[in-house]
Amino acid sequence: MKRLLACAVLFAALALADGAAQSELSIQVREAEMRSNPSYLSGIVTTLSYGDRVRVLEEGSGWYRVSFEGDTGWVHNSAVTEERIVLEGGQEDVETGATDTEVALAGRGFNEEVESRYQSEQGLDYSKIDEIEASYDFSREELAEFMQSGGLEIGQGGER
Amino acid sequence: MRRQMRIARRLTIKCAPAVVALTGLLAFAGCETFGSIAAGVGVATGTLDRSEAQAVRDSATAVSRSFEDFTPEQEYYIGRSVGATILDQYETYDAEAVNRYLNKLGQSLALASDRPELFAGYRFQVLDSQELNAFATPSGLVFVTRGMLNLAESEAEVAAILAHEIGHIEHKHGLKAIRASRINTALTSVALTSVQVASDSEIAELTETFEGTINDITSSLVNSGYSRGAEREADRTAVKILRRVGYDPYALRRVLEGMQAAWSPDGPGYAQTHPSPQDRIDDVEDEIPDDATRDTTAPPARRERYQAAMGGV
Repeated sequence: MKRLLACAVLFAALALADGAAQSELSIQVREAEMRSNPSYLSGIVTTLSYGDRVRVLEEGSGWYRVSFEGDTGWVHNSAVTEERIVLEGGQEDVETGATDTEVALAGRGFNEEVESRYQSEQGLDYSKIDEIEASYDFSREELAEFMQSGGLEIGQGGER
Repeated sequence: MRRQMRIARRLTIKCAPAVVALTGLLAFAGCETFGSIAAGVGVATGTLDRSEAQAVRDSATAVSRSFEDFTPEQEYYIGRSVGATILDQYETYDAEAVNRYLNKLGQSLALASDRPELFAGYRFQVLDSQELNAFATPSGLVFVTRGMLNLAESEAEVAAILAHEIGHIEHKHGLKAIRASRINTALTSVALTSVQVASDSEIAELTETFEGTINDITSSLVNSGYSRGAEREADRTAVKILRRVGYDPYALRRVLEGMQAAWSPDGPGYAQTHPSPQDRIDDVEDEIPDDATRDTTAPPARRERYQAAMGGV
């Protein structure tokens, strides 16, 4: 009986823990802007980084209202994942790593190391790719200005 | 450095409650139903030893993976190499005016897609080729040939071409071209799931899988082409994006008609890599209003910037 009770308590605790886990999301892109409203036209509250865990407060169409380290605002759903992304800051963190369906290891699998090996095996030149990535990085505000001056509307991201 | 410290701090904070939870679990080891949950919690927060982690790994490898399981970070590395492979076959056309314009236009269109955010964002690059062709890598790098741009006669038509490519990215068509067996290997490889730093032979094995992955995607992009179904999806997404921002969706039909006029089943570029433009028109016709009902007037500012950017192409 005692054991049954213990199991029941544990069940409840896990259910709670599970509920809490579901209301957290990880940033799955290099940088994501948290905005004051679910719109690319609204102000930037803060910039979130890859692997940051945000707490979900509300879900809107295509956007989540989240909180992170005291800031509250909206991020588009394509910037977040339900998976926990484990960043590997150093050797100790590497030791903690493993993967199941809920955990993704940042920097593992197809990464810089694999790319550089592939590059040397194939004799490919990545300098142009690097250059393209580093160029024409327009802010959302510049894009909004471009669209508005062309008599167009700035996109707000759809639902996935 | 500061960022690393921030990460380290958060990892530590995250660990504490999980350790408590795990201790609780061990105390109630009689509740065997919780075994798998316990393993998940412990590994995620760094409280399992190596053999336990191995057990988690074994259970992870038993799960069949699909292209949906690639993270945006993995898509990024796949896309970079697909891009480098394409640039091995095509020269870039680097005139500043047109590339700047294409990036402003394309990045704006991407914001109206269902996938506005990618690991490292969208980029657009003109290729110095007279083929009628465009390619999208899974990482968000879109290439368009000069020939394709010359086929367009307005900003809305260039937008239709770019929005179609964004459609391929939104639907992950590049990743869908990867052979299923390879996806499983890629996502369950030792180098990916090991608690240890990957060894040289593991990296070599993963690089081999990477090579196969890049080949699957580039051969689909450059040689065999996407299926008619994938093209239909990308065209329908293009219409959706054009509508959301206010371009005339008929622009897509105009582009397809221009391609159909230039189309030959054994010609280079687009002809080989896509279903016929007429097939695509048939597939998207119901989404595009009839010619007579459309408003063709574009504001002067839009026409002027289009002329200024495309003039030399």
